[in-house]
Amino acid sequence: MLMPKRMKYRKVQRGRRAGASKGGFNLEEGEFGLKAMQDGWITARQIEAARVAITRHLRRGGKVYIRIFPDKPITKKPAETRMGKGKGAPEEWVAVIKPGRIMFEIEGVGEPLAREAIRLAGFKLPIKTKFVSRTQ
Amino acid sequence: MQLHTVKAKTRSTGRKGLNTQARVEGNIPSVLYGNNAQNMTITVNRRSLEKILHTEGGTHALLQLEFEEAPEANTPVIVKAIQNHPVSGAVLHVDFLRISLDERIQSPVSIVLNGRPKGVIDGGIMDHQIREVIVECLALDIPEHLAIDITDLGMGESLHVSDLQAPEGVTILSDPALTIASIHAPRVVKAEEAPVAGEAEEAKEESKTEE
Repeated sequence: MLMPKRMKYRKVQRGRRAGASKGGFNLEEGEFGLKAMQDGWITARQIEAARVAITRHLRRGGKVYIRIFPDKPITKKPAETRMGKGKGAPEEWVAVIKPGRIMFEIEGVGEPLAREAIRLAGFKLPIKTKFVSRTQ
Repeated sequence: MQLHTVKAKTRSTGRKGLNTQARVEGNIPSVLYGNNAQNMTITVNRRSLEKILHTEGGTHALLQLEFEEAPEANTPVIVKAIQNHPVSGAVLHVDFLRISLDERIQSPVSIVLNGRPKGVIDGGIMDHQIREVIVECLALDIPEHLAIDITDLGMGESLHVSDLQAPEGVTILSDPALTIASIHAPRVVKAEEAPVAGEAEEAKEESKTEE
């Protein structure tokens, strides 16, 4: 799964996700893409699940680009723990996504195949998504 | 390239609400500059501009801006920059650059790849790396696109900017060594099928001996 090689601080604050994406909302490499229509935290597991869904459907044809990276550590307190006693331990890594962000791109396959692969990948993510292509 | 006419109006600047109002009325706030003339803030009709940008000349179309209230400001232009909404993709703002029809200008031109490469038929994957090149020519000579046949492109072969053939009077300024497209062999992935019972036992024994 994707995660940073090293980090400056082990724990970070949650932050806010107001507004639309300020960058990364155009197709750069591929012909087709998966665009976020909502904001959210996408975990490394979800990114991997979506990637696997795409590559399996393409049957190893084409090229898949992952345009997001989970660089934010999320902490969690153990079950049945009383409140207080400090912040929990780092549990997982997430990518902060705002509406408009292109999360995956596909190149080298036809539109029907790419559309279905993107649809399947969308089911693995916790936000509403949309298929986009260069010809639109 | 054909010159498309787009009607434009001058607009006043100052408050952001005026631009929002223009967008609600079906116009796109724009700016017109270049050619040693005064900058102008203008609006153009959304439908007529999007029709040209999406269907005919693409985003590199050659336009003639026509002002009803100020005919002296009529000028040929190219689209220098377009701002789109991150989510809906709607055009929010356009930069128009004034050009002179009798001077050579630099403009990006799309590359169109024709045919299905031999390497892809053999199971390779095509990597399309650059989709446009910069050309220099007279504005009316700008080609709508540069087409190239890729049916003979085999596995491991690449197509470069130097392989493009520009029409007469058109100079390609992009680096000739840049790769437009290449055909790669697909990555080999181990089969996920479960081994036959006999093979599995053999594999276990082998792993024990290795330990």
